[in-house]
Amino acid sequence: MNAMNVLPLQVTAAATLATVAVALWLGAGEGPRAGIRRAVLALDRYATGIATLLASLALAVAVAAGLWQVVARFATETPSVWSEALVRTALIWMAFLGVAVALRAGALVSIDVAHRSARGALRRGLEAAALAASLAMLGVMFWFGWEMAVRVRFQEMAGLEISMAWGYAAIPIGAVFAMVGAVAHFLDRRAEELENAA
Amino acid sequence: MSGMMLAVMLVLFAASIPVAIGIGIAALVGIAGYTSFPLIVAAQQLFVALDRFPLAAIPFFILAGNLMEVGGISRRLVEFARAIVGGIQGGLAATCVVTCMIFAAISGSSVATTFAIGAIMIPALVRAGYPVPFAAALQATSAELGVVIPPSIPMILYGVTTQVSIPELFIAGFGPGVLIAGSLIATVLIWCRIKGWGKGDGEGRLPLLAAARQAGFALVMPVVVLGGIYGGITTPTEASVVAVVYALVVGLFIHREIGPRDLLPIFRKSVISSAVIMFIIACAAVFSWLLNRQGVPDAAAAWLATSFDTAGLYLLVVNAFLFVVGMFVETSASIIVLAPILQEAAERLGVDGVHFGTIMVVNLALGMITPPFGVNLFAAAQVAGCGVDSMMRYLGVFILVVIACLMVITYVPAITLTLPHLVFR
Repeated sequence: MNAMNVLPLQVTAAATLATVAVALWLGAGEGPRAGIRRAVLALDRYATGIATLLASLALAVAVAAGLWQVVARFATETPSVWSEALVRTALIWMAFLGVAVALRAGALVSIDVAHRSARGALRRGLEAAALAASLAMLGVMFWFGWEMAVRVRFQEMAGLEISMAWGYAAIPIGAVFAMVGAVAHFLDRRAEELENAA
Repeated sequence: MSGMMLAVMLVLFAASIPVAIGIGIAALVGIAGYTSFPLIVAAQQLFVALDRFPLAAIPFFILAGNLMEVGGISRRLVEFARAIVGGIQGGLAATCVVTCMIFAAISGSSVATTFAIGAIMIPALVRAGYPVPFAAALQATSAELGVVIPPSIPMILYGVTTQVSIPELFIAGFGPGVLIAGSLIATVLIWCRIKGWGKGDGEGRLPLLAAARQAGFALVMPVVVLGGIYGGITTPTEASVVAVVYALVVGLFIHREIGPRDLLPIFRKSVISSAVIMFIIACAAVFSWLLNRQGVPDAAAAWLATSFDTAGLYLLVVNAFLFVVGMFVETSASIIVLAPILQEAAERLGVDGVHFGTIMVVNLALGMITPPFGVNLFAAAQVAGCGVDSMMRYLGVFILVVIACLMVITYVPAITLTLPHLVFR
């Protein structure tokens, strides 16, 4: 293993286990636990609400830039250089912010035979495992996405003349929103998997 | 290494962990455990995988489909299809197939087709006396046409991963789509004769002209989108933008069934569907990148091409393999990981890339109606309010029909290749 991977993986693993433990503790019970649970879900409503708005905005920007791309090519006969880069960048933001919205809504597709047939503690165990896997993946995305954004900050994005970091930042920022969404989904499950499948 | 990655992925899949996360973690395990790369390459590949202009067509076609569904287009298409084929015994069941076929030319997804058309067709079929599980099974199967007839999300993915031309794949889908639709229609008509279903299907239809008029704007849409691509005027991505704008204008100003208030829910739904697919694409791309670095695709393709020395045998084995894969694995992930390997072996054996891509898409589309992981089945079961188990006795027949079509598509390349050769070569 590359030595650069060791510390981030250890931190991610520890943080994941701690978060899952806290989430399991918060997941049931009355009194102060219910209070914290409500606070986490309230935080999630803001966070996921913001992610939804930003991702929808990114999609709208991509459509507008795409339309300009088509119009420019026909009307002015000079292909626009920035619009294609803007479409790609906006959709990357849409995708990584959208992962947060999808995780919160329980919309990520899974082969859920085991979950559907399991009951009680086993079922909760599978949900905890899914939370752990999601947090581990998102933790890695956050840490190394951030590192990547820092590394490319002096490179320019062809066509848009802005720093490449503006593109790569979608990964760590989306991952933070997605972590909140994943915990909230564990505490208050929704299953919109099919409504939004494509 | 590949064995370990596969094992990790299968365990995570079996534990009901989301497909994208399962593939992503398997790739991370591979990179961290078996190579000396820093994990920063994973972040880089996640980004690079999505930073491709042709992929933009996926969220755009999804958005266009959602705009049209809310804008009342599916209902209009059902009326139109009924006016054409609804008059005979079993005509309503045939209407379901024909509507799905037309809707498929607007939408790139079969689950979206199941919801959009199923919400209208399944209740209508049940009211007309068809058994609920039959209606659900028929809807799930017909919706498969959504990815066979262009535009098609799996075809876009196939083109992006293998460098096969997306416009050629699109136009190649028409022949197989018409073959499958025709076979399904013949099947339901015979079935209705035997069981005595659907004797009153012809009642209450709109006259053809009136039906065509109310569906006019919906019917122009595929002409604009596909005409733009084949006329060489637009790329598939640009055509998808035109589709969004067209659907928006028709929904907001002409049919006036979309209000400004509907827009945020439509965008939210499109964001979720797109993000689900794009996250799978990104994670599968990291997985695939790692396999590439280890030389797995070349070795596997060389082994495949020498083990199965004729194209006919190879295609048979690949079809059987993909049928099993399709039962368990999500379509986008299968394409990104498997298409480069299988395509290269196919080319070594002299199979046309467009033909092979079509076979793969039709086969994996079959995976959407085969349990245990058949997204169309779950969608149709949800719309119909019946269990997937109860659908099985009807579904078996439909699956056999589609498998027969798949065999014809595999061994009669002309069905697939005639149109692309006429237009492009």
